[in-house]
Amino acid sequence: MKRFYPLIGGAILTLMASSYSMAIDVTMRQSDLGAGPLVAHVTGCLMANRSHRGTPCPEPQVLKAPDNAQRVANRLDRAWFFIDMQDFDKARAETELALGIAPNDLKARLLSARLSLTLADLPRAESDLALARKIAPDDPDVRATYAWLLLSKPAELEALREFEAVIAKHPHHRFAREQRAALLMRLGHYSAALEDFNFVVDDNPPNANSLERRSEAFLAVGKPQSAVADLSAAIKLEPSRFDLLTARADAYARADLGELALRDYDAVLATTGGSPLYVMFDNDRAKILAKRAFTYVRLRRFDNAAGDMVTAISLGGTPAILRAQVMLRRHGFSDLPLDGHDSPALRKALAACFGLDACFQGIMRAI
Amino acid sequence: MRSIGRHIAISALLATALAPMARSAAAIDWTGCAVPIFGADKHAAIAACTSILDRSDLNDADRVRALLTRGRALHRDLNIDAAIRDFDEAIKLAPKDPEPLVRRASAAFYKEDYAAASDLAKQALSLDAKNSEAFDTLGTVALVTHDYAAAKFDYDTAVELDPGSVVARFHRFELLMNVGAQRESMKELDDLLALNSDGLDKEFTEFRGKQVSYRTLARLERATMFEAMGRFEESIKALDDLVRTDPGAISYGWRGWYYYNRSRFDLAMADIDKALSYDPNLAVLYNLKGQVYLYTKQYERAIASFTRSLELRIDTPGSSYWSRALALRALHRTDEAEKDAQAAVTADCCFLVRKSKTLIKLGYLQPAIANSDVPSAVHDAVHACMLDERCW
Repeated sequence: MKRFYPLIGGAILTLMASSYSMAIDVTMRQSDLGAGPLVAHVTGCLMANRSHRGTPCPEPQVLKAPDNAQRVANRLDRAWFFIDMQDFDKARAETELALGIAPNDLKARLLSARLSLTLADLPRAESDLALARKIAPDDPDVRATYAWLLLSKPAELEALREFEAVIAKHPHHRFAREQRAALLMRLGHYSAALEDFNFVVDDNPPNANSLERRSEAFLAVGKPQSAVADLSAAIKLEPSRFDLLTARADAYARADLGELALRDYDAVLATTGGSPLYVMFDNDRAKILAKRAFTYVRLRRFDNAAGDMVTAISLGGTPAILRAQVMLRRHGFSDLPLDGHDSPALRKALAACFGLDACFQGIMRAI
Repeated sequence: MRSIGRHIAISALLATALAPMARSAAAIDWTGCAVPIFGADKHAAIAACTSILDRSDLNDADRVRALLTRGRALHRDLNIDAAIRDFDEAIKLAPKDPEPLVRRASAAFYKEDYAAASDLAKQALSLDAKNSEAFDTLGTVALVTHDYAAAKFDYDTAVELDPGSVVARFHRFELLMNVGAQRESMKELDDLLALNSDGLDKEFTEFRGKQVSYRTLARLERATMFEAMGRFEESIKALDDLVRTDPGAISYGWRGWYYYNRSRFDLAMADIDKALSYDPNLAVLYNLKGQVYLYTKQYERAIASFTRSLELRIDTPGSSYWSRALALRALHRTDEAEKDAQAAVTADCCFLVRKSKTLIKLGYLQPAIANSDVPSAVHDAVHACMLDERCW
């Protein structure tokens, strides 16, 4: 019996710890893919704990379990709690305590590496990953995290090999799939990237980010209507994201659906009481204005286009003016000064340019 | 007396008649006329071969040997036209010998006449189907013309025919590196360095304005490859090893480059200065030094370093001109900056290819379209870039 009690106690503690972990997983860790940097999301618990409204999520208690593994699991649970609270210093401290108990615990070592990646401490991440790779060289999360580290070095080809190795053995590894797809897009292998995105979308619950990324691949392979479909589905999932609206407007424009594109651009650029509905940098607003101007031109609404372009140039500053000047000089306005300064001559040339299709195309590409 | 006189006359006649025979019978001293190995005096070899070729009693075989040796010495001294003359003469004297054809093919490649290089290598193979060097030349032509599958086949054949060929193995490494097969290229380097071949130290090539042995180059490439693979610890270890066992301008200079890439500018500068103490005229080191000064905002010093690299005729002048332009722009010397930036893209077409990505990304240059005035477009793009502080 003497020997039996601790076992029962340990089992109860384990059960409690694991049930708590499950609760945490369900409520707060849904977006974590187990590899790469930690993605800090605003969670219900974070809001509740910070705003003191609703039922706050309690900090897991420190368990005095007799077993090292249980104590490590408890420390990691606490670390995850602080990650979800976006208190990375405390999360780091808990992870260090876990590593103090068991330096070769893979979960603790990997979490330490991922915390370091999140906090841009690459040397620490590298040393943690080196240890993790010694402990479990074929662990898919370790390899995928290592591949992500390689991307930051930048060692893209080696990273690609690592992601491929993970996917070969673990085809459903979402992080590796997503990262390989993004890398393939960067390397210009759009069809291969699309295959990965298809897998990710089909293999997981609906997710706006996955759909948005796949839409980029659809656009890259010349399928704008498929991109529109993905973006519409993404907007349904997250209706308040103006980046998705902008992306869908671009996709509509690429699909020659100008009126629909205008509807989305108008929504993104809308104002209420003189203030923009969506807050964004001037340069981003300038880019969207330029895109809307392009759509206006295709619909032969030149006055609207000219108005947007002048506003875009005003917002874009010297680089935008330089780009406009370069392109105007290349398209029949060779006497225009190239000095980065706004001027009546520039605006006059710009207005004149709208009547010339080749000139306008050039301007649009530039801006 | 008359008989004595006649005897003397006959003896004199005989002596005169036999003199050339006596000379041709004299052995040729080939000691100096040898293909220069790494570090050897190429001019001495050329002179020794020339003195042999000046003899009037050479048979064709010896003449071909001297011509080939002098041609290779001239080639290694980068006097390619003179080398070609020797190889052509050797081909005439020995039309059935594959070696002059292989050497001539190599010289044609150096002159970037890839069609001729390929033709000559194929002629050599028609005489000797197992000529490893001919396959190596064909592979190298295929590599520079981006026919990677053909290059792989040719290099594999060259190595199969001559497993100890340092040059063919190194070329195969370059192919693997070109196609992004980093792990395979690393293995190729490891295999190459593991070769028990004196070719690693005797064979050499031109690298960034300096002749280096294949052993040094392979070790350097290995360190660089580690860096490209993100394996920084192994990279710096390889560079430390190189510095320790082969101290010189290349080893210190490239370790300095590594430190520069990691933004460890003090260590970079110390290594670059050490490298310059070995070779004060290696232009690429001044460019590197200028980059360190540029990134640490020591613009006057940067300008001086870039100027020195240009004076020493760096093989990549575009980088030095452009970086000097950035330093001048930082000092508000706008006109000089503009002049240098324009010089960068006109003096170095490779630089323009690289820089065009930035210019296109920033919207100052459009991808080339038919019938467009490209020089004028590039001029405007560079001008706009110099007016935009974000444009580097």
